[in-house]
Amino acid sequence: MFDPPSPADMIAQVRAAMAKDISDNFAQKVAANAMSIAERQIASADAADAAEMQRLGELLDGQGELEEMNRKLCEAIRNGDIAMGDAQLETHLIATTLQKIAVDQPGYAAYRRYLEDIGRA
Amino acid sequence: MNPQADAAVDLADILTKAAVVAGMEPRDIGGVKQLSGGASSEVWAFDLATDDGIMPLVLRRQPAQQRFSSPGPMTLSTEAQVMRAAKNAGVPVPHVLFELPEDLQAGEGFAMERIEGETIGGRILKLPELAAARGAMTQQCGEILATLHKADVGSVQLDLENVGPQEALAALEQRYRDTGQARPVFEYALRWLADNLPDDDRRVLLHGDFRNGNLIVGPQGIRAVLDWELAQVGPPAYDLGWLCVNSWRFQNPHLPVGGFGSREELLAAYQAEGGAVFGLEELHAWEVFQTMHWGVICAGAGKSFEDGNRSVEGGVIARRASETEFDLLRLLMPDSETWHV
Repeated sequence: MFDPPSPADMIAQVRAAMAKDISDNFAQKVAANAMSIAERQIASADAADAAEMQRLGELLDGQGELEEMNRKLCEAIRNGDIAMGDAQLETHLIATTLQKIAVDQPGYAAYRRYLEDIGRA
Repeated sequence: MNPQADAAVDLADILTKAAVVAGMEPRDIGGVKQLSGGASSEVWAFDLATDDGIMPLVLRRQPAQQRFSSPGPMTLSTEAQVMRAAKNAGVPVPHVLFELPEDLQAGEGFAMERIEGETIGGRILKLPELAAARGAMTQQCGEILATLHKADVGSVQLDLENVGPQEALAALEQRYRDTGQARPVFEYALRWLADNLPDDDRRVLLHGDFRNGNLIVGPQGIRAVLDWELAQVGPPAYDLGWLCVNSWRFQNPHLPVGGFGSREELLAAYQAEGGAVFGLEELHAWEVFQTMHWGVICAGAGKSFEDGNRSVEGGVIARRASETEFDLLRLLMPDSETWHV
């Protein structure tokens, strides 16, 4: 599950900004970044969401909409229903976060260094 | 009709009057130039000539019209007082020369000395002429924070927030819940913090946003510390933890302190200068806290966007929350095999 704003909202906001004035160099770069995020999410969200849904189904032993399942997972962590150090939880959190940052900010220095370290840069 | 030129002339007049009220003898105000203008405050550069010479200065101002529109964490007047207190304690801070008197009806603000140097984090880490500075800055950060934290909080006499670790954690959790977002990584971090954030009775004057990005740096290192608007009173590790957050290491994630130094060197310098005693474990816990803290700020930008406060920049900042989720998992489960799958 990706964070707000949605790709549609990002694109709409860039469009609105361009209609006014986006001649400032910094504003252009920020807009290009926003468009890249939307572009990457459109390309990968279906597969990422499906994988996340699969893992959540196994973790929580149930089904539901992605947001609902995430709320249930939050409750389970908050209540202590899932133990800290649970390997399946760790795997889920890491896998989900790696998919998120690949869309949100693939150039984040620590993430790039991580990819280099595991030979996947 | 040139609105910008008119504004500059009006401002020069205001600044002259304010300097006089403060007991100065301004002969001329020149070079009035707006450096930035956010939604709630403006920054201007100007030169003030007296018989002793020309002083390059900066004005921070919140225009009168905006006074009631956004409360913000701190008034500019309080910020000026904090800066004076920090400077009196021995911290390198731009000298505050005067405030804008209320009866000028020119808004709230203060003028401080304009210090040359580099402030952009990524540039501080790569400019060749700052190589020696990078070598000295970790030590300097430790010394500066120790000096600040030794300031007599009672004598500062400011109405600053005073928050201990458990209250800070409760506030962080509330701020996350106020976004309305379901974030399992933040839930996990909160549980870890509940189990691992140590109690600490010590309360010191904190900068509140001490990081690479709020420092003026020259070839010898840190010249001044900027942006005191988040100053508060709390446990000392709060400032050191924030300094180590990965987001402020820019292109050098492997150097925990601002992208230029090690935690060990920071702690050693801090404690050698008389700073509070605590170890790497406590620093680690506060680094986790402060990483989530930055993440919640980013998540808040997403909530704000959803609530109708829309900008491209806000949307992009909202998408930085995941960098903190990545950093939290690297801190909290570094040995999971899933990193290598």
